[in-house]
Amino acid sequence: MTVVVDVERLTVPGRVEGVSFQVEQGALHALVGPNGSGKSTVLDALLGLVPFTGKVAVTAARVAVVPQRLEVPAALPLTVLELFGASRTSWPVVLGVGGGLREQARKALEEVGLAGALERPLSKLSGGELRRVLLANALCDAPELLLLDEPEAGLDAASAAVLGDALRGLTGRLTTLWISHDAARVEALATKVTRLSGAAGAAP
Amino acid sequence: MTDVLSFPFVQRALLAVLLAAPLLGGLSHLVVARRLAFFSAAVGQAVLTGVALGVLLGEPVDAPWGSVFGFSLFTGVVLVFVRRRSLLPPDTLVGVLLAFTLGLGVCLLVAVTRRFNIHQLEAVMFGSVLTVQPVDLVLLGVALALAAAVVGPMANRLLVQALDARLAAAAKMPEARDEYLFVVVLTAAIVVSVKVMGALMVEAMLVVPAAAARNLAGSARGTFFFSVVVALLAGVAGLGVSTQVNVPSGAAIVLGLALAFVLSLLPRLRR
Repeated sequence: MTVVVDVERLTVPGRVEGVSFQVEQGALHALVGPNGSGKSTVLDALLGLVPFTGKVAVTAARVAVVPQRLEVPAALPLTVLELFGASRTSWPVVLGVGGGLREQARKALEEVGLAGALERPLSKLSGGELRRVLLANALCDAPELLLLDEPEAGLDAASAAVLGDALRGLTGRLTTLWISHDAARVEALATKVTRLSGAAGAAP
Repeated sequence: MTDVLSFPFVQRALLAVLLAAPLLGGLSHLVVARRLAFFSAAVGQAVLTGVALGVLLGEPVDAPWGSVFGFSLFTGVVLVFVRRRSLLPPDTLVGVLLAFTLGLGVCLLVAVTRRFNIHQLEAVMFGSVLTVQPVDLVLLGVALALAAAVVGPMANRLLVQALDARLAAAAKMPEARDEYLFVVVLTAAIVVSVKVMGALMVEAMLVVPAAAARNLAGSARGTFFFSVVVALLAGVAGLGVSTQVNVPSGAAIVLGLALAFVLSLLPRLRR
């Protein structure tokens, strides 16, 4: 099996201590641990956003991430369509988004049951809707590796159902690293589970 | 107003406003999205220090471009460099640097005060669009072209980076390079606009248009469009007032911007 993510003795001082795991191609790999166990920090290390020691190798060329929430939702007016445009083209979205991309975005949104949300501002979406939009945006150009940061946290029932279906549909199509603190939910879907305990770090 | 337009210096002033307004108004939605409002104010005031430095170094007082560009770019780049490495909140760091540049500026100004007329300093602080020279228009035109050519292709990345660091990182956006490049273009835009807006008020043209536009639009496209329109309307109206009544152009334009902002609140108040 090809390894898509190889993490060896990853340490981020004060947050993560010697974590090791490998994500194989096509897996739905869950990284589970209680709050404060450093799951999100592992994700930041994979994306190169925090300094770390140890080895982190991501071989996938196209990586997509679904953050749990957006850092600046209200300070910045952006519609769903503009998010799709800004994420993958260099033609400025302030001058309009082209028809081809509009069609692509509409199709991606249809899969998460939000085809009508194309022109809505991100700031007007509910938490669940935003998560579904971010998932559709992440899947839009067929990434090889999908990173999910607690996608199930705080979702309404409709969004949770859509998300569960989406995750089941993904298995085998691409490689997914799913960060979660909900061990029971993860075990029903994941093909492999890595547990992070509070301080000690990795148990493979 | 029509007969006033027959004067070449008024024509140059109008052209300067028609270049500066889309330049600053067009950048303003990115300035607000990336929280660079206070930063812009600090760079504007660094221009003042740059002028004093230029006079001290023997540059002409009405065109000390070397010192002004040099010191403002230095200030802007140092701020970004320190902010990327410091744990302090960005507004605290800007406050610290603003204090440094202002202190230095005032000391230098007093030291060189005999070498120029105090009214020339007023023009730098408050703007004097009626004294615009052809070289100012060329610089404004170059800055506008530079902003379109450099910021245009990376505007989407600048928005996504402001939205979420993880989305930007997953898409492998060159975040550090983009930030430095944007700050350099922004600084150049501020420096060339000081003749129109004044060092103390140039920040208004970078913040108020997008703030007003934000009240009127829910999309990036709408915000950009309204920002440019608000900047143009306030700029031309401010210039008109400034030619009729003897007030500095920068201050008159800021009042126009303030009026536009108040008007932009009205549709919200009715709801």
